[in-house]
Amino acid sequence: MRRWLICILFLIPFAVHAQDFVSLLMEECKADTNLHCVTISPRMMEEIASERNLVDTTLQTLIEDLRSMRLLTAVRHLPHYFRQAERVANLPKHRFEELSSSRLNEEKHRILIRRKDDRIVELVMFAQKPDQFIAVDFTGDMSLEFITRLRQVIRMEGTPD
Amino acid sequence: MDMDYKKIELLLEKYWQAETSLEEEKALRDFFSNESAIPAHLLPYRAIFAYQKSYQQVGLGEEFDNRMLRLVEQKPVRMRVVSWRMRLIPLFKGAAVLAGIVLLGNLAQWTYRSSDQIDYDYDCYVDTYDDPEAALKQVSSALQIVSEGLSKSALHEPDSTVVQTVVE
Repeated sequence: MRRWLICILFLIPFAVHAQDFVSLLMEECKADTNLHCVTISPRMMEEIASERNLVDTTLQTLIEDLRSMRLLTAVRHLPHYFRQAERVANLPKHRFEELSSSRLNEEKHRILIRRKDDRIVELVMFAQKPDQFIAVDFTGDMSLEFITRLRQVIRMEGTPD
Repeated sequence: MDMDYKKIELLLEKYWQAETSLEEEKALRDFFSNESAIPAHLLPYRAIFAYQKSYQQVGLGEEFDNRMLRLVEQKPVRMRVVSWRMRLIPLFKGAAVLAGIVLLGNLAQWTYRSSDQIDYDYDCYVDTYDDPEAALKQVSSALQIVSEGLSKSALHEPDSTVVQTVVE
């Protein structure tokens, strides 16, 4: 009995790493070749933020608040992936809060946040479009003011539509 | 001597008639076990009385007595003084078990809560792009997508109850 207790106490510190939304979703869809994931690590994000030639200052300030990004896309079985994403979003233990949602004809969006105290540590959007499923996941140190800035239409030269 | 043998014969007659007293039977046993020159006609009886004599000498012995005494001997009752502290030991043990359960419960709760407070595990992140410019394009594109998503949907107050908004 004592040995078990000691083992549990030793294992607890190793079980506290949080997983981002896209990682959780990819775990749900293991070995699924329909999904395409793009990852920008904190190291690369720092490099991007330190780029001097960024014309758009709004973009610059937004990127400064970010630590990483993951973008997951699929062009087949779109409702299935949307359902899976909703399932992950609704798991109570990850405590994603819904920030907004929309449904317009065949398009569905859901935007979620995850908070640490009064800061936003993760911003997630997943959408089912007529021809694509897309999940965007940003981690970082964000605020509601960041969301407000993000709502402004971002247009910068060279940004793909 | 003949006289003695006559007497023994008479005692034997009485013995077979079951009329001998204990003393007479003892006399018979003594005769057959001690007498060295027993007449031939009395020899068949020797084994009977010699056996009785030897059988009487069989006892349980001192060792048996000692063993029995050891068994029945009562162990001395030792008096023990039970202090208040010793009386409270079961209570302390119960409290320790309860404290352990509470501690484990708190640890589990802390682990559950801390899943949002601990840094993300970025070790598993593998960059898709080596070129920061390509990465920047991807990030700005993703920000654009989220921005559009935010513009299309109604924004909930983060502190209010989450209600799904349906914009038709």
